[in-house]
Amino acid sequence: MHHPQNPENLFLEHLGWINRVAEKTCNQHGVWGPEAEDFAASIRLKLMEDDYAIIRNYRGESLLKTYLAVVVQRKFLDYWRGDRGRWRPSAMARRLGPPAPDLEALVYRDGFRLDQAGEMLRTSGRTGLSDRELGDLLKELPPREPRHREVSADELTETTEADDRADTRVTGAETRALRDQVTGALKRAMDRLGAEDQMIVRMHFVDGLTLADVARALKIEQKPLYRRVKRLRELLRGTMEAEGVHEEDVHDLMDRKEP
Amino acid sequence: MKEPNEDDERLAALLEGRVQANQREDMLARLAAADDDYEVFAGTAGVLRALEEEDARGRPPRVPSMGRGGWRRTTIAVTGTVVLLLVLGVVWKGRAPSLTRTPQQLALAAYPSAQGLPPEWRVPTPSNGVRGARTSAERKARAVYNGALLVDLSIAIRTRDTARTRELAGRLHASVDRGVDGTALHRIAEHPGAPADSLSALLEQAMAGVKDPRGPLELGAWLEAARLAANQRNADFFADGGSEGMLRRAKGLARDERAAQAVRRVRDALPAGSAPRWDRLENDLATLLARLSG
Repeated sequence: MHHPQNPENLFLEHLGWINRVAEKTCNQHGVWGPEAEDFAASIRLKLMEDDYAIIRNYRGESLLKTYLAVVVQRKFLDYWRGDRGRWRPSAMARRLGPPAPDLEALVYRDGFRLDQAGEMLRTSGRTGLSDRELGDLLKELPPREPRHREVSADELTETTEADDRADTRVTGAETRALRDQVTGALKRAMDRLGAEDQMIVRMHFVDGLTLADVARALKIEQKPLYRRVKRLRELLRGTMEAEGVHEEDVHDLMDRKEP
Repeated sequence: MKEPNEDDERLAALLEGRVQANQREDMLARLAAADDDYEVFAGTAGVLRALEEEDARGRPPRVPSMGRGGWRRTTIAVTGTVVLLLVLGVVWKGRAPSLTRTPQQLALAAYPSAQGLPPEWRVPTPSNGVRGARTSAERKARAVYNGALLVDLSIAIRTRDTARTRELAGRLHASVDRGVDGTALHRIAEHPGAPADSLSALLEQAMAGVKDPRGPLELGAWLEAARLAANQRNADFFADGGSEGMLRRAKGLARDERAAQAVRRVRDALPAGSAPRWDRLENDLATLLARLSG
């Protein structure tokens, strides 16, 4: 292998980094506290398995720290999906920022009621918002099916105005149908783009990553990216409208929600 | 669990920009169409970015120590600004849970310069005097103002701007809710030339006792930091996805149409997916801060 150093020493030298990456990876996916500690312990064991096989397999094509970060991320997805199934925060939740991704995960992934989710977020120091404020925030997120237990729309918004409930359910069903239609058209429009442009569209428009994050991940300059994204937006919009997706529908997907 | 395969190291090399152009094109095409590898790639990029930012926040510009002199170090044990910032984060969040950054962290993200506040910088002023916030709305407005002052004071301390440190600590001492540890602010105002570590520790002590409403206080700190970032054309500050949440909070605090309009103007100046409108953003933020703190 590339590295002459004892893999155990490499593991110990990078243990602090591994712990930080594990914690940050968990937090990124809305996993905190004991569950995050469990995962960190499991990844440490995994790295030690078979006489540090993962580290021994490192060939030196990248920095060891980056390689370990990728390994941890992949192991997390395996670990978490095994327990909870595939889950990713919505683009809107990412765009809104904390605590929206955590709130979305607790309500729609884990099936907690809004007041339970609020209590968990507040006691773990992840928000200072009241249940009412969290309820308002939840309304801005796209509706998703709860994973583990059936949670009615009434439960999800029980601390908000009762008059809003029926409207929320109707709007939710319409939004899901609209989202399927728009994303289908978007996928076909993306097929016409080059590989890097596809990645930019997926990361920025679909997943809601900032252009700073996209530029950093793809190792491209950020400044020209603004113009490029504008061009891509116009291109996609034109293609999708040609497919019969209404302009307002496209705006819903691509644009920031107006006050 | 699957064993890591060659892709993990290739993904790492791609994230570092070490893959040759033709191979890179192939990898990106596969990633754009993939689910698992794409998630690993994008997720790792996000984690690395977050850790870089964390490291950057933990390495503020070094400040010279006064050494022995008229000021005796406080009894608070401070091993360095790095530890201090971490402690400040814990204290701030521990007192009132929130995901927002502390005023010190906001100040560092918006204005990492070691040169002190811009010479022409106008510190916010409350329109209704420094005392007498009795109603809930008045308390919130005062908290917004105090949050802004905390950011400016943090920068003044970090950059060894003695005159501003004295002025801002004095103004905060006069303005914050009476629950605050006024002694700490008073000592900062009295000894603005003390070592930065000691002043920061005193500021930590003061903040731990702040009784102002936490949401408006955080909003004020963000608005002032954003104003500084706009002044410096610091696009990274606005790229973290937190602006929308703060503007929502601002919208909730707006008591009249003019304040609501100020929120809309700032939102317009921060268009999604493109560069901030630098020609107006600083002024729009100043207007919003004035509307919410007046």
